Amino acid sequence: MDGSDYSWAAKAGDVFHSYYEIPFYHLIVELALVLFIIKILMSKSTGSPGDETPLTEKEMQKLIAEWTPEPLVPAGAADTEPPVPVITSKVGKYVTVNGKECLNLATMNFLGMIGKEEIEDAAVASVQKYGVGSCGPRGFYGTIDVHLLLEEKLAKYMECEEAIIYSYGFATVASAIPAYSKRGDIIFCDKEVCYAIQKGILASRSTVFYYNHNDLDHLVELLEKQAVEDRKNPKKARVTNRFLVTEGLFVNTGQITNLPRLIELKQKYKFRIFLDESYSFGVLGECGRGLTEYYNVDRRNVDMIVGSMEFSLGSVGGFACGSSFVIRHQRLAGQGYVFSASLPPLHASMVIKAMDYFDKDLFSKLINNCKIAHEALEAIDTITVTADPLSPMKHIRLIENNSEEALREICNLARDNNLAITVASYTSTEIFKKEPSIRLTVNTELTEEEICSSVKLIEEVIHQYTSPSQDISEDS
Amino acid sequence: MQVGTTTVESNPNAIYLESRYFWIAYSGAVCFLHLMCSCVPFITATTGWLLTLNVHNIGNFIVFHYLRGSPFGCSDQGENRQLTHWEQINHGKQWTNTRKFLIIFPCILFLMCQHYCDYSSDVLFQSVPSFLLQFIPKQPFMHAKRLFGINKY
Repeated sequence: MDGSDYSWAAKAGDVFHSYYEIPFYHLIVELALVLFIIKILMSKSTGSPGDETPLTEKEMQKLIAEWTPEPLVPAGAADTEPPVPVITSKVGKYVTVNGKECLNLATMNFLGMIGKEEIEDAAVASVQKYGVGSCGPRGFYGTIDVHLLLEEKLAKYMECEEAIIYSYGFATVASAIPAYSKRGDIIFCDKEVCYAIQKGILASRSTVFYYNHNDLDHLVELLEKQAVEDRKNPKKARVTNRFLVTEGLFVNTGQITNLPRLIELKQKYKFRIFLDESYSFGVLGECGRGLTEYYNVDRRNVDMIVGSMEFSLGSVGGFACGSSFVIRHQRLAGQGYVFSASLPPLHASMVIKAMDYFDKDLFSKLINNCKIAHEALEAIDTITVTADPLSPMKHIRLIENNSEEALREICNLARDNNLAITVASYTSTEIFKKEPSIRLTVNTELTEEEICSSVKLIEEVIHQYTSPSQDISEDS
Repeated sequence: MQVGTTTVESNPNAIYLESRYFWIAYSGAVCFLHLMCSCVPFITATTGWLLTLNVHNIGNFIVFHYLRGSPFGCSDQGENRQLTHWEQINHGKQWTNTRKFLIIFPCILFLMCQHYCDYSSDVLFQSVPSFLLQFIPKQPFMHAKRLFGINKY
């Protein structure tokens, strides 16, 4: 016992002894560390660096005094809003608008899928089998056999490795873009892209460069500028993804993208192409496969094709197709796919049925109708038509005094004469302001006579509007 | 792991560090490391301590200050892609309890090492570099700063 006590005391002595021999700088290091520990134990938790200092009471009062509340509803808002036309029939070739049956030249139902009995039967059969909704995201009991069937069918039709379907057309491209393009990445984009793409780009938080509409020389300029930047900072360039997002057929202008040139640029400047074929799928190309078929380019050159099932297919939803590793990424990263209930099975069944109608005659008829309408519209000397002859969407603007009110009035007059046409509407948050226009659409259901007489009616209505004294013959 | 609803962290990469169980596990792991280092044959206790300290500090540097981003598919659109693990803690908030623990722990380990090595100058010179390697990046003024272009992009 004594021995062990002694040895403990000796050890303690050694410890204290060693303190005397600590070099001075050693002591400073130890002391500084101990003081540091005490200091941070005492310190309070604060915000992140770069956070602004809290406002003083005086500053706060000043800000409150300066603030003037805006009315929640701006004065006269309810009066200026144009009344929404109400439909009380199928939106097919003819449509009953506000109780008046009109020939429908405002629909995106390019191939006349709406009202086809077989498609309706397929929908009814699907409702009887699966019910009306799916009520679950694809990952949570929302995957129904018709979804897989449709994905397979779309992939096969588009000759891609894989396809993915979304439950809403707008959400398709708006989810697909942010799934790949993140903060710090670069997106090159056409100025006239549709609202869904604009929202997708916004959600991606990427740096975006807009090039003038269909002006690929301007795009080259921007790419060249970026290439110079990249050469200066190769380290940064190595981790920056570059994307090009554009529409195949622009809904806002009716123009067609020059895809072969884009692919040339892609190979030169190394970026990835996301092509939104919402309006060109089922329209362009011999078999309606869209822009890639129209230009006869290898579909593998386009990294992802996004389409909508809401226009030429006359259903609901959207799809994206491309190589397997591109598409599979979206099954976990596409927010619209992961977090919303899957496409109601009846809509999937409708698309499957509608795709059976796809054949070369149908597409050639549509293109033919587009050309007829274009020719007829070009002949009118009071308007300008901005659209490709092959586009089923024609944007009409008055040469003199083009305003939204005037166009709206013309549409109303046309509706009084049993023709439904519409003014293209945009939200106030569009990035680039749009010139108001009448958007006239052509579909396969129309005959040549109907197109010509409709265009004639439009001409007369415009004439009536610009010189109201003359009467109009009711001949449509 | 895909996160994206309002009830879930947008970046779950660093939340495990806040758990008290992690603190215990971390301390336990360092004790185990010291045990292992002391078991290496033919080395003195001093070398064992130096080995523990340097291995811990270098490991700490790699995990907290060198590796960036998150292994999870976050819904933050790449906000944390450029940030180190340390910078992601508490969404960049400084002097939180988690950060205090993670700063103080290596300091105490350093002091213990000096004590058990009898405050020898050799030990000091062999342990200070690795200590500073993980100590300086933890300071608030180093938040999102990159020295010598390392890890810059």
